[in-house]
Amino acid sequence: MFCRSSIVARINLSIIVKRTLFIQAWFSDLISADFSLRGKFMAKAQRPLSPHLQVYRFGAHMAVSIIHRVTGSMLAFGAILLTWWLVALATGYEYFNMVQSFASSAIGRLVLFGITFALMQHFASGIRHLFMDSGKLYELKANTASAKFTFVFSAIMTLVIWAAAYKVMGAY
Amino acid sequence: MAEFTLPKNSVVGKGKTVKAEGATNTKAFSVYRWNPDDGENPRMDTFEVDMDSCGPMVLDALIKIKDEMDSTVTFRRSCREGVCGSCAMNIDGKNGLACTTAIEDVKGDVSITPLPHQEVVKDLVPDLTNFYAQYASIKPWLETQSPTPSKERLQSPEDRKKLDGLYECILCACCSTSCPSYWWNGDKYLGPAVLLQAYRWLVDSRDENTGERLDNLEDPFRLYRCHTIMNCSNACPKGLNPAKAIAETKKMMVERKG
Amino acid sequence: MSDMNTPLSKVRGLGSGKTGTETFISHRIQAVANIPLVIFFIVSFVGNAGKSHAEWIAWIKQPIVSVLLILFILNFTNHMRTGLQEVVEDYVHGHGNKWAATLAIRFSCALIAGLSVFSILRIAFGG
Repeated sequence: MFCRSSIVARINLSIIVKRTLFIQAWFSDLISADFSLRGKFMAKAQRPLSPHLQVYRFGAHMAVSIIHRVTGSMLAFGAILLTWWLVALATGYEYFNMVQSFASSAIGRLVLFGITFALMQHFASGIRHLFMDSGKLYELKANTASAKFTFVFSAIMTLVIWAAAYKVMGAY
Repeated sequence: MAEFTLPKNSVVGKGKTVKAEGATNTKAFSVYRWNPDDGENPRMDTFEVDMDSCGPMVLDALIKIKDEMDSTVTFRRSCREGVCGSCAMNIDGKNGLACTTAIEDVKGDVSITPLPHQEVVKDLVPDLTNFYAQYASIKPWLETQSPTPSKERLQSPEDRKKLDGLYECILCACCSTSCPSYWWNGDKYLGPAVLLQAYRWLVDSRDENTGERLDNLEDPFRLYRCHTIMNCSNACPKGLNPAKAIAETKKMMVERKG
Repeated sequence: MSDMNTPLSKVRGLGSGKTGTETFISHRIQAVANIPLVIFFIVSFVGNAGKSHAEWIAWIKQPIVSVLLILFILNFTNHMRTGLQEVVEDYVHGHGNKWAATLAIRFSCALIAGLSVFSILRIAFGG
C-alpha cells in the first residue's frame, strides 16, 4: 500500500510537477514576451543618447564648415543692413545722414567690421565648397590645409579692405 | 529643433576610479558606463591600467580592464585586427576601432565613449538597428535586368579598379556616427557609410539599376544632408573617403539632369 | 514614441523625394555668380567710402552700377534663401516649426530683395 501510494503519489507529483513546469513555461513565455515587449517600449525611452558634440574633437575641417554656416547667417543680417542703407539713400539726405552716422559710430564700425570678416570668410570657404563639389580637395591633408587657408585669407582680406577704406576716406 | 545638448537621462556623471595595485607605469582609461538595469544616468569610470602588462592597442586595455578590474565592462569586439568593425567607438574624441588605435597615440588619459549620438544598449554598445536598416534600404547587392548569363559576369580591370576604396568598407559606423548631419537627421539622412556603399553599387559596371539607385537617393534628406564637413573621411579607420564618394554621387545626380 | 514598424519601413518611409538636385545646382550657380558680384560690391563700396548723399546717388545712377547692384541683390537674396532653407532643414524638426521658418525665410528674402531693388530703381530713375 505504502509502496503503491508512494508510486501513485510520485506519478501524481511528477504529473503535477510537469504540469506546473508546463504552465510555468507557458506563463513565463507570456511574461517574458510581455517583458521583452515592455522592454522594447521602455528601453527606447530610457536608453541614453551617447555623447556627441560634448566629446567630439574639433578640427579645422569641422570649424570651417560650421563657420561657413555662421558667417552665412551673419550675412543675412548684413543684407538687412544693406537694405536699410539703400532705402535711406532713396529716401533722402537727412535720413541717409542719420544712417551714415550710425554706421560710422563705434558700434556701427564694429558691426561692419564683423560683416566684412563674415563676407570674406564665407567667400573663401564658399569657393572651397565649390572645389569640393567638383570632386576636389578630398585628400585629407589638402582638405585641412585649404580649411586653414580660408581663415588666413579672410583675416588678411578683412584688414586690407578696412585699411583701403580708411585710406579712401583720407584717415591717413 | 535638433537638440545640441544631451537629454536629462543621458547626462554623463562621474563614476568610480579603479587603481592598478603595485603598478608603476599606468595610464588612465576613462570609460563610459551605463547599466540598463540600475536606472541611473551614464557615468565615466576611470581605470588605471598597468601598461607594463598591457598590449599596445586600446582594445587590449579594454580586454585587460574586463579581465582584471571590472568584468561588467561591456563592449563589442571580435577580430582584433580591423576587419570586423565590431569595436568601433569614440576614443579621445575621435571615432575609430579600438583594435587599431594605439594607446601611445593618445596623449594623456584615454577617454572612451560609445559611437556618438546613438542609443546606448549598455556601456560602449550602441544600438545600430537604424544604421543597418539604412544599409538594407540601398539594396547592397547586384541588380540586373538582362537574363542571368551562364558564365560569370565580366568586368574589365579598369571597371574593377573603380571599386577600390569602396569595397573595403567594413560597416563599422565610425564615419556615420562622426557626422553632425547624421547626428541631427540620422532618421532620414543615410549617412556617409551607407552612401559610400550606395556609390559602390552605382559605379559597379555589372549593375544595371543605376538609374533606380539614383532615384532612390535623390532626396533632400537621404543624400543632400551631406555638407562636406569631412568628419567621415577623417574618422574612417580603413582610410576610405566617404565624403568623396558622396561628392561623386552628387555629380552623377547633376550629370543626369542634362 | 513607440511603434511596431520594422526598422526598414521607418527608413524607407514615404520614399525618396526625387528632388534636391535642382536646389543643389541653383545654389552653386548663385554661388559662382556671387564671386564677381561680391568683388564688384566690395571694390565699389571701399572706393566710395565716406562719400556724401549726393555723391552716392550720382554713383548709383550710372546704368552699369544700378544693374550690377540689382543683379547682386537678386542673386544674393536667392542664395540666402536656399542657404537658410538648408539650415532650417538641418536643425528645425517638426512640421509646424519647419513651415513657419520656411515661410519666414521666403517672405523676408522677398522683402529684402523688393525694398533694395525698388530703392535702386527709384534712385536710378529719380530726378
